[in-house]
Amino acid sequence: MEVNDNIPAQGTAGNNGCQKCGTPSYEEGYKIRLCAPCRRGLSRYPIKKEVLWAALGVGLLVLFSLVKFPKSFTAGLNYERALKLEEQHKYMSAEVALRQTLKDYPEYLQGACHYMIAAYYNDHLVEADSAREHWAGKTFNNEKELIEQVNKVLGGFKNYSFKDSSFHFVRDSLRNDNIAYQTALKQYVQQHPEDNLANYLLADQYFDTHEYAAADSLCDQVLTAAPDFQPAYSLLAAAYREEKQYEKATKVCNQLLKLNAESVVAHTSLVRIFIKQKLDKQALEKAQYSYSLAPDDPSAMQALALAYHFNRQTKERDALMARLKHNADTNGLATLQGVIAGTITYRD
Amino acid sequence: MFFVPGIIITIVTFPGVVAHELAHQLFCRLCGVAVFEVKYFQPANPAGYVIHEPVRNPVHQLWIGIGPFIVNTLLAVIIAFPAAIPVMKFSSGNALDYLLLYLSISIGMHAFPSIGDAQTMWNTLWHGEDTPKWLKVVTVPVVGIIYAGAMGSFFWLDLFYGMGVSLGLPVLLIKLMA
Repeated sequence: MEVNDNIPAQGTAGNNGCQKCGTPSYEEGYKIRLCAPCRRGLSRYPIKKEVLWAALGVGLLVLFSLVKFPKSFTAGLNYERALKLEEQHKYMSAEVALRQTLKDYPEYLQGACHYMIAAYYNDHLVEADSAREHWAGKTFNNEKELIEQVNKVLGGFKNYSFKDSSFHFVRDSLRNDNIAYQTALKQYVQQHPEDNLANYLLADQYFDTHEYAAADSLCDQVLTAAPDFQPAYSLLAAAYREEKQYEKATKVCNQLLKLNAESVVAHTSLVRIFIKQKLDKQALEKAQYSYSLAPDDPSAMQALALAYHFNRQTKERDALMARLKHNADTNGLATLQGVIAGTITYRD
Repeated sequence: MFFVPGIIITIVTFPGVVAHELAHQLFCRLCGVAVFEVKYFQPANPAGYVIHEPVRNPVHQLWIGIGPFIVNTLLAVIIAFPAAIPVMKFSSGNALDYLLLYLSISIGMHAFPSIGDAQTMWNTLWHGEDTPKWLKVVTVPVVGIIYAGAMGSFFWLDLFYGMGVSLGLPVLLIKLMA
């Protein structure tokens, strides 16, 4: 930018008029004498056509790029939200946000890592495992904390398989013979006392046979060895609940909520504890919250149906029961139907 | 840190020079100041210029002087925004994204007024008889910042500014909105 006191191209001007066109009247206060139309004309100095065409081209490129902008913007927003939710241990919402991000950017490695972490803490092991597919042949070194978290989760996966992998076949073959399965499990645990999955499954067996003290003792053992192994928390809470140790049961649920503030299992466990304590309104509120977290989760649906039942909201309960009957996962449904029909006494 | 001759940087980032001169021209038009000549780009020093008449209202000189800072920064943000997120966040930019980022960084790099702009502003505003005192007070830090920016360009400050505006701002905005 330069200032020029002398007009470069003077017109046929006289000495007293506009220096460009010679009009006698000119605008006062300027060093260069120009009439208003000449000054306006010069201030609108033409922009070179090449510059205009280039600007138009850039504008078109930007417009073209804007077509995919909503997708990348939403994905970026979802990803950043997921990171914040993850910091707050709200893994259910984080998983949903990360799933959206990965839908648009499936090759995004950091996104896949965070998705695996969120899915793992939601006990969605299949989804967590599927995230590993994105990692083939890729490396990143600048996120030490994320790598540590991923390694921790990968370590946690080991708790979901038997130390002696041949026992998977034993378990499958004895699926329909409960007594034989429990016997085999006991033998296996004696041989592998440090196997967390086996201990947990044995505790589950004890729970089914109403041996709650044995169940909670084994769960405690598992959680001491593997504090992130979430299934043991809900089983321990259930064992304490059935032993009418409601404070202990609530404490266990709260421990799980520290791991995952949006744990559907923890919230639905609390629903059942509240119902046992005849705190039906609190149970309904909790059930509605857990349902809002995972509306398609059968355990959230069952807890809400149970809460509706004890709050005498039969219409809402029956609508949920109809949905549950069409769900592929019918685990626990028979018990719920029994409670509703009055053939099973749920509480004193 | 490495030294690259200014003329090479100017040639590589010529879209920024064009936008810079266009911004001066635009503000001349907005202020009704007569323009006598515009050079959008030349591979020489100065790489571009706008020759205009002396202003009647000293505030106009300030606007014309800082016009490129406003226009180039805005242009850099607008051009980079759709491209920065795929590249910076998801490492999945395409050729168009990288082209837009090149344009954006080039334009952002030339957002700072030049030393010539600062000299013109100083001569017109600080030494101007009609310049109100408040405007002289405003002129001192503005010219100071421009000189600091010019010196900072030796340490690639202009490049950092261009990258910050083009790459950093969209990512920061998303972080704040999340």
